[in-house]
Amino acid sequence: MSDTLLNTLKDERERLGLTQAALAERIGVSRKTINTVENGVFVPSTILALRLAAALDRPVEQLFRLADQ
Amino acid sequence: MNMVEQAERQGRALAICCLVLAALLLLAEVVGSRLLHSDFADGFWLGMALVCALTLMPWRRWLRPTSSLNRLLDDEGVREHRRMSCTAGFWAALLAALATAPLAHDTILAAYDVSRVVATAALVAAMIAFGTLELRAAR
Repeated sequence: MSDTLLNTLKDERERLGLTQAALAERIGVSRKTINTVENGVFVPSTILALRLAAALDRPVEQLFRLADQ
Repeated sequence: MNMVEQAERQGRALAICCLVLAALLLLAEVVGSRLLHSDFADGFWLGMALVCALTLMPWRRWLRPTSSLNRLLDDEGVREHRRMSCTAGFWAALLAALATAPLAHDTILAAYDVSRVVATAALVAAMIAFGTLELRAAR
């Protein structure tokens, strides 16, 4: 089973016309954290993933998926 | 300027500060142990080491945990970078200790010098790792 986490964060953020900074402000983290999650450098905690899903109005499994699924 | 932009600016300043402090600490160690044996050089190294150690700690969050800015400056991403940089510091300290152990055994290096080398290696590795990770994330 793969440990690589893929995400559609950038697409979903752009769908709502949000910048990284605007999304960061919505969920109370720094822009750096949004940037690293988007680029797949940082795997977010469940709490952050749920916050991102709520802010982008998408179920969490639509934002994140394992590479082999 | 909103809170996220303030955090961005302060985070970048802290990352650059980490790299500068790492360079100064390394310089203080090299100059103090090789060229200038004096109480001032020893005191300067100790002061730099303490400042470096403090820089790696989330003391702002500890002092004012309710501040929104401090929460952004110590969010999940920054905590992960701090954890990774402390791991880098641990391995650097271990390598430095293993490398200097034979020299201390043969009394080529005094215990004080060994402890300085180990502490410098740990702090410099951690500071460089933290500064680099933060600057890369801020791109």
